[in-house]
Amino acid sequence: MISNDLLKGTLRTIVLKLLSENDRLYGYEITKKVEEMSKGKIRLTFGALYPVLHKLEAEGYLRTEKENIGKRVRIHYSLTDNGKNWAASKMEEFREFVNTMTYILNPYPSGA
Amino acid sequence: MRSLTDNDIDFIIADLEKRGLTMPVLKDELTDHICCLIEPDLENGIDFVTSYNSLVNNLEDNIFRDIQHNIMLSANLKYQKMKKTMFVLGIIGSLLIMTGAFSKVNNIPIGGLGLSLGLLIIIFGFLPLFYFTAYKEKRDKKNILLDIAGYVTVTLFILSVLFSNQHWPGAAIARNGSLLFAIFIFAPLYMVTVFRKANETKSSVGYLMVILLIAIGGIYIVSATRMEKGTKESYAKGYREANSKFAMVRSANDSLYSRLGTKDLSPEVLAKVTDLRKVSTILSLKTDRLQDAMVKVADGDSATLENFTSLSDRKAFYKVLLSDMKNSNVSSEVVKFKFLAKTLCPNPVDQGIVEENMNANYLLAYYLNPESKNIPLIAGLLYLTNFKLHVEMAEYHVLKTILN
Repeated sequence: MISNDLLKGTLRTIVLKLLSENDRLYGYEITKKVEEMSKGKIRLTFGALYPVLHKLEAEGYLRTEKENIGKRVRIHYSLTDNGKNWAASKMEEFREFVNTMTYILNPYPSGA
Repeated sequence: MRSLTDNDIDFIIADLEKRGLTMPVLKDELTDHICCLIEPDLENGIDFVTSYNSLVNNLEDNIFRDIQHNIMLSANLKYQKMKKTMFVLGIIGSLLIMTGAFSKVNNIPIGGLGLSLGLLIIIFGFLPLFYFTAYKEKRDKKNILLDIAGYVTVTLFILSVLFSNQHWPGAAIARNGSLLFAIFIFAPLYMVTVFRKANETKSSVGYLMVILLIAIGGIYIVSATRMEKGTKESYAKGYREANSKFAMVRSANDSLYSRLGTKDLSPEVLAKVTDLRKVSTILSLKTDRLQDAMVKVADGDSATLENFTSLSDRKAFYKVLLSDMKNSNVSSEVVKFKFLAKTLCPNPVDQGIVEENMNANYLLAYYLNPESKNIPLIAGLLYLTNFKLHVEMAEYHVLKTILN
């Protein structure tokens, strides 16, 4: 399991990445996809996921659609045009960060 | 296989509401999320209540309220703007107060305006937003009365500073009001809140410090702006005695004047003595006028020397003397009086006595001394009565010298 401290700064990028690959997703779906893709190493909690989704929506990067399923109301999230551009730049920034971290953790790979 | 019924969903919604969830959208999505988590259990034959209880029991206490709180703080852009406005108003207000105070100390004319504007921004801009955001950000049981009491206490205190700075009536009422509010409303409300949450000692220590500081501040303000009762009484007694001494010497001088006709004096001396009497009368009237202006500054236009009450006012004396200095009303008469008195008393010993009573720098020293800014009204009145008393005493000595 990956700790929450490490996840804190990356959650926005994870959400943006998933939404850039899917037309729309709802909260539970996002947690399921993350769990599957990370092979159970990342488990998103209610407390972590929903504030991030609402903040991204308030900032204009996500839009929501309501779907009634019987008595339940499901909220689907999708990227706005602005959100798509921002997601691309955020992911690029994150890739650069991962590369830098990889280098810092292993500056002299074996065979080099 | 059993699926979720409408009753199950109603149960989840009711439970979320019971746990403090009020945001409709969040309620919808958390209900859906919980349903999605329970459905696999139902497919495996676990009943709804067992599955729901096991899910909820594994969650942290207050998790739903915390999520809602975090969303409200981070995703509510209107709230974010409000907080930014609060910081901007706080900075502008405190900068105006600091520059205003600096200008006032250095007698730069716009100081008072800057200070007042800064205090008004803090009272009506920064503080309401501060209390509102602080109230919103509290996760635990909120006590709105405590926040209102805190706001009223601080507002009254700042208003008292503003009113006293601008010499507006009501400064003492605002000051005493803030102290009474702090002692009888804010402190008891705070104590009740603290005792209800006895385990949260961290915030209690902070609030207790605030209460202590307010109390110390209150004591300081009262002691700094008010004279001790005994001191005030002794000044008042001195003032009454100086006035009756003045009346005595004045009437003694009147009888000496009536005796001048029995003496064979040259017309030149008589003219000078008449001039001396005229100047001493002018000095006495001008001093009376200064004193009257002082009590009016302290107590308002209807105040007189017989009915004024603000004995410990520390602004009136300096303010009136300063404006008199600009018009140079008293000091020129003092110089004239001294000249006439010395002409009438050629003997150096007599001149010394006149000089002793009529020290021309007596009043001027006060004009130029920054300490006179804080002289309480009753002490200032006593000083001025002593001044006119000494004029009469100098005149008495001159008349006695001539008559002997």
